[in-house]
Amino acid sequence: MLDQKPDALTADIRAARIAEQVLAMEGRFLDLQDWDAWLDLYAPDCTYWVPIWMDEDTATTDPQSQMSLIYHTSRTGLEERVLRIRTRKSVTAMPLPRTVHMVSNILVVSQSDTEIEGTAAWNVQHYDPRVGKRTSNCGHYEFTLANTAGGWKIARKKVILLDDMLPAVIDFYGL
Amino acid sequence: MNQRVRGAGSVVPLREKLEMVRGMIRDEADSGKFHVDRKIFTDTEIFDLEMRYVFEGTWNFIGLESQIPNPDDYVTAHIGRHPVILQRDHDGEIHCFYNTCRHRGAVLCPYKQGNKRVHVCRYHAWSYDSSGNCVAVSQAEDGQYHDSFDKADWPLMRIARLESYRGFIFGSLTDDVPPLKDHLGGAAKFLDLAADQGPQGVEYVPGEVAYTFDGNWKLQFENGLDFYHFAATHASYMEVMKHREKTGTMAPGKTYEGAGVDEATGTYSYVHGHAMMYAIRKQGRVHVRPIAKDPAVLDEIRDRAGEDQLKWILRQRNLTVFPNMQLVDISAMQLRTWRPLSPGKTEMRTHCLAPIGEAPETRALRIRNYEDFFNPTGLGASDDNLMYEYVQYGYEAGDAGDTSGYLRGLGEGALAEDPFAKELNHPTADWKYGPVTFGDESVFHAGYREWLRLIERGLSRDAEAEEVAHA
Repeated sequence: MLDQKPDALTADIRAARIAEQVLAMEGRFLDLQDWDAWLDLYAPDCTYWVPIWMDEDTATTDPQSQMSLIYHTSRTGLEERVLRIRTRKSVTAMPLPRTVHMVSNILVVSQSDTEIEGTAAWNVQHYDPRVGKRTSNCGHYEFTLANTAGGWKIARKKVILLDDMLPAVIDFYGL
Repeated sequence: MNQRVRGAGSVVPLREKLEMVRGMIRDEADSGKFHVDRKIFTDTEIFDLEMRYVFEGTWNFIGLESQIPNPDDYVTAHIGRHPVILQRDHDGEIHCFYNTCRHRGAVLCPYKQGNKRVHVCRYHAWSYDSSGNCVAVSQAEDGQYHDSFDKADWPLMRIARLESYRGFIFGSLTDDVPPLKDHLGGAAKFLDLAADQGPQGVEYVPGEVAYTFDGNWKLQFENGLDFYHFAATHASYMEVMKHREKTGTMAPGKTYEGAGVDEATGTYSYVHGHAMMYAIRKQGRVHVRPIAKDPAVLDEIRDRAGEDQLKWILRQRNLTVFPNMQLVDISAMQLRTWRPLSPGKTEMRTHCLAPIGEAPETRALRIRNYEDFFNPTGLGASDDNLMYEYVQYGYEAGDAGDTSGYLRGLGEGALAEDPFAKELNHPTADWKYGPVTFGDESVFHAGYREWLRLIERGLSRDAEAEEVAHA
């Protein structure tokens, strides 16, 4: 919980503000389909992980021996997903859904000058003009932000999706 | 009671329904024609017939023995509309019960999987052991049951038939099915090619991926045998692959074929609606197969299963075991089952299939390959899933006439004999062979013939029974 000493409090508030800003920017860039700006929020050696549910209560914990929905250990995996959309050859992106990302309940778990770790809750409203239907995805984020020469970047993001009965298509812009 | 009310008060006699269904599949393959009526993808009456006579009238794949390795392990599943429990008992024998309490019908076990020596119904606490015996009727002594009441008369209900082939467990709700081995026919060969990949057989990598698509189940059935769609539907995936090769993030493609083997695709059709397609690709066109990562693994397979078996393990194979299972072996191995929810909605349950005891690095490569293509979050299967929805949308144009999607492969091929008959040495009903751009569609026919046979059989029997009852 928050340390009440003035210096510590300042650092905590600063870290919370940075986390809030980075996550809000990420959602905003995805909603604007500004893929380059979105990719730029990630460190080149980032981990992007969407585990799945093992059973009613437990998500997978080891991507090397259990299934995940997405597991990328560098930004390349995310860049390829953007590339796929940009080929204009994937029916999943013709048309793309319109989205609204909402991130809340942001909690900083640990912070230093170089790293901020935390958790958040997320909700994405997802409107598919193909079928005229709005659906939503939601879940939890766990994140690590790194202070780099280019500013604060996402070094690790784990996206826990609430559902285990998925829609026909789900990709980074809907998470 | 076998009649169904259609529209405002009109009743369609079963004989009439039989004629309607016969008109839905026009099988004139010998003269180059095969037509499937669009309505069988959208019509609710047809859907009811499918559930009753196709899914509930033949063998369905339920699960793997390796999913329930220990005494009292279970998984839950569906056969057609019926929820079932696949349960290993305390002595190790496997049973399949309807997943419903004998007392008031509540689903007995709402979990996906687990281990239970005794299932206790959460409604009135009736209890059943893992062999299906009713072992406790709560407050039985005070229940003022009639003298004739005996809990031994109320075990869990077993499905009619349960058999396993090489660890693949199948069940049938009707007794009127041939032994599983006869039912599988030549398709068993391709279950062997999965099971033979490890000395102890295969298992699911932990973690099931389940999803739905807004389309008819037969769109998945067809697509899993459809080589023709790959270049168009997966064009964006191919672009990503090209990019990976260019940027060096992916090792150059390999081939496992001898110099004398041509690039080709082909299909086999079997009894009871099963079918498979294969692709033989050469240098630069094949991903690194996880099974081939370690040469010692290939040697072990060669020694145990033989050279021909190994050769086929390394080829791309898509098998359909009609009516509810596909096994795909490309850059990773997928086992998928489907459950039709309505004419326009299908539930998929998918797993990464892997040799038991595989080395950790190989397992990790297999998982990454799998996630790359499969899953609603993958770069390939998501395009397929949306195409099913687009086809379903198009099929709503019910008056738009025949489609031509079952005609490729009905002409003469270049070869008079199946080039792989000796290697595979398995019974087939039909084979087709052609270049990589062949895209055989006659491979769908076996499934539709079996579909029609099962519905005709069911309707004829019910019509006879009804006529006897009214005579």
